[in-house]
Amino acid sequence: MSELLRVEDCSKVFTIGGGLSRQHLVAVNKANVVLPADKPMIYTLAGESGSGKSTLARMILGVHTPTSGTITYKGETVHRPRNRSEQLAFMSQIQTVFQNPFETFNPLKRVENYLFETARHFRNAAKRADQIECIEEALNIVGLSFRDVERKYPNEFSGGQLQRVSIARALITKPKLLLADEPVSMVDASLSMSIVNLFKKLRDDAGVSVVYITHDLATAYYVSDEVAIMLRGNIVESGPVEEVLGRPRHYYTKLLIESVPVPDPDRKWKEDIVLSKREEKEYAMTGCKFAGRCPRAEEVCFLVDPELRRIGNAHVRCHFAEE
Amino acid sequence: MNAIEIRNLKSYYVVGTVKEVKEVQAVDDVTLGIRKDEIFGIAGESGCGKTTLIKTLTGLITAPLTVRGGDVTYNFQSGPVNMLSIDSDRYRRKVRGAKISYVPQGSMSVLNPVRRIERSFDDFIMAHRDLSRSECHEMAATHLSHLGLSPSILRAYPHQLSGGMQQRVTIALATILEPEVVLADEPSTALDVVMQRSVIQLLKRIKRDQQNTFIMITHDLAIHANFCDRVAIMYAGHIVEVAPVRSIFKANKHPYTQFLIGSLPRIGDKGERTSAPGAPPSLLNPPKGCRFHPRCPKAMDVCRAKRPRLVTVDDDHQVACFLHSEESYDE
Repeated sequence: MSELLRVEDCSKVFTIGGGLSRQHLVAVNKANVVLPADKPMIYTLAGESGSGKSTLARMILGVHTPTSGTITYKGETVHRPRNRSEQLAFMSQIQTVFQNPFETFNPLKRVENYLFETARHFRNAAKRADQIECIEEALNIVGLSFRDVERKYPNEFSGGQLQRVSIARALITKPKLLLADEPVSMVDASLSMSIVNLFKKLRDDAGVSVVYITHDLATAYYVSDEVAIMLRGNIVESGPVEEVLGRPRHYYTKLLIESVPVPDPDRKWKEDIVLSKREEKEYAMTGCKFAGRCPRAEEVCFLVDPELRRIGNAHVRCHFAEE
Repeated sequence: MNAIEIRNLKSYYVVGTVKEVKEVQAVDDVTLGIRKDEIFGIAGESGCGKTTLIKTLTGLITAPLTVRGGDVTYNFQSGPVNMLSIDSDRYRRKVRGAKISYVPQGSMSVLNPVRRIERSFDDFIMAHRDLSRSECHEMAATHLSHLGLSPSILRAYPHQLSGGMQQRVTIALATILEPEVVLADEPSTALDVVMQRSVIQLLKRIKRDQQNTFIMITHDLAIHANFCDRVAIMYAGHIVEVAPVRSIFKANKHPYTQFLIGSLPRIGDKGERTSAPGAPPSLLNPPKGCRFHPRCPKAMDVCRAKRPRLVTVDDDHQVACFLHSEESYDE
């Protein structure tokens, strides 16, 4: 078995409204993602808000069922009925970290309760001493110790610390895959660096693959091995990060990279950008979803949905992308 | 003459019971002069007192926030106003909105979810100007189209707009009366890169048209590099460095600033990045002397004993660090 995770032609269609006003919204359209089993890696899903990143992540977690296509984890399909022990075994393999650590934890509950619960359910640790041992091990990986969190409530932590506890909680089950949904967008620059450095450490030392969801391309470039750029449900460009972000071929990727503010006062944004006037309508467009904003768009872009083509080491979904 | 003059400002959160009163020194002894027509940025980690400073500047002082000293003077075209000594809340409200405008953090939530956008504009304009509802609508529509936004959004409800669009609408709302000073608190945080850029684009346009003085707070230094003229770095309630934006990025002097700039990732550079060791101190019981000394790799004995004074070291470049000057506050 050489694949940890395989997402194949996976789509999710949401139905909005009922009766005459029923509309279909394609949140994810034929996504393909493959993570190898033998080599842990950090895979980034990047794109604007509303591009379907989180929906794809939820399908991998098994929360949403794909409308079409399949997701397999270690050769076994994710979406199938399971009994309790199978479900726990599956959940212990894939864990998740959320955007805002202050919303992850109930403010009226001690943080340690979450850690003990996870240890009890997933590690079969019945004795408190065993539970503490599991917790201590996970907290050590993120640079904390049990004494730092003992008897504390979420409001007694700083945002960065709490996010680390949240990651440690996920690590208690010894997962093979960690899904991190915008884990750094709420914390400031120096803390976000310490969190993404932690992901690197997890990949290198603990052998955990990470699916890192973000709109911050600068940290994505810094940590990830592979990246997929999403636009309105479509993966428009994917491949090794140096290739996709270093030599972008899709015009949307180019726009995204150009919009990342450079921390250098000599390199300010020059031109103004065109924004989509009708955001919700971009989902319903036929052809390329970016055509309305694309500088290179021709008639064919509005009519024909471009195929995913392989150029160099990357896959690009554009009619005019060139080497 | 400076547009805003801040002198020895101390804003504390006073919490606890009568027996045991605790003070959180969120803004401690801040002195700053903000010049007319400039874009002044304030940067620093979360919890360093940026938002408290802005709140005090706008006079939004409600318990437990208490001003323990210092003053804030605005030099408006009509004459100076000391924001902290105004005792009439009504007059303070007149100043706020018309002359000073505040774009708070997460400002999308100022829009009432069950009323159309135009009603929010009406409320705002009618509180300051004696206009009829239709005149208000006309004014709002011209302002929006002037800013490159479609006037049709006035008829929409907030939930029909995306987060970035809501943010741009609130900025339009805050600037419709052409205020002399605009204070923006993290206006582009939590938006994606394209939306972030559109928000900055909008702010630049307003600045160009209305010639206001801007104070911009964000922890994202890349935004400061793009937008600001001068930047102040704040750490644990103190201002540690103030300089033109180019000097902050190219010739910074304070070790904390160096950590902040050094930890920024850039596309095309995979080199290892580290952040400052340790965590920011608790403002309830800040360390003695320079508040950065427990995390500073260059800390000396004097740093532990005395607090460095913010002094001008270069042309227009102020820094509070014993590596650059020996002056200290007497404590």
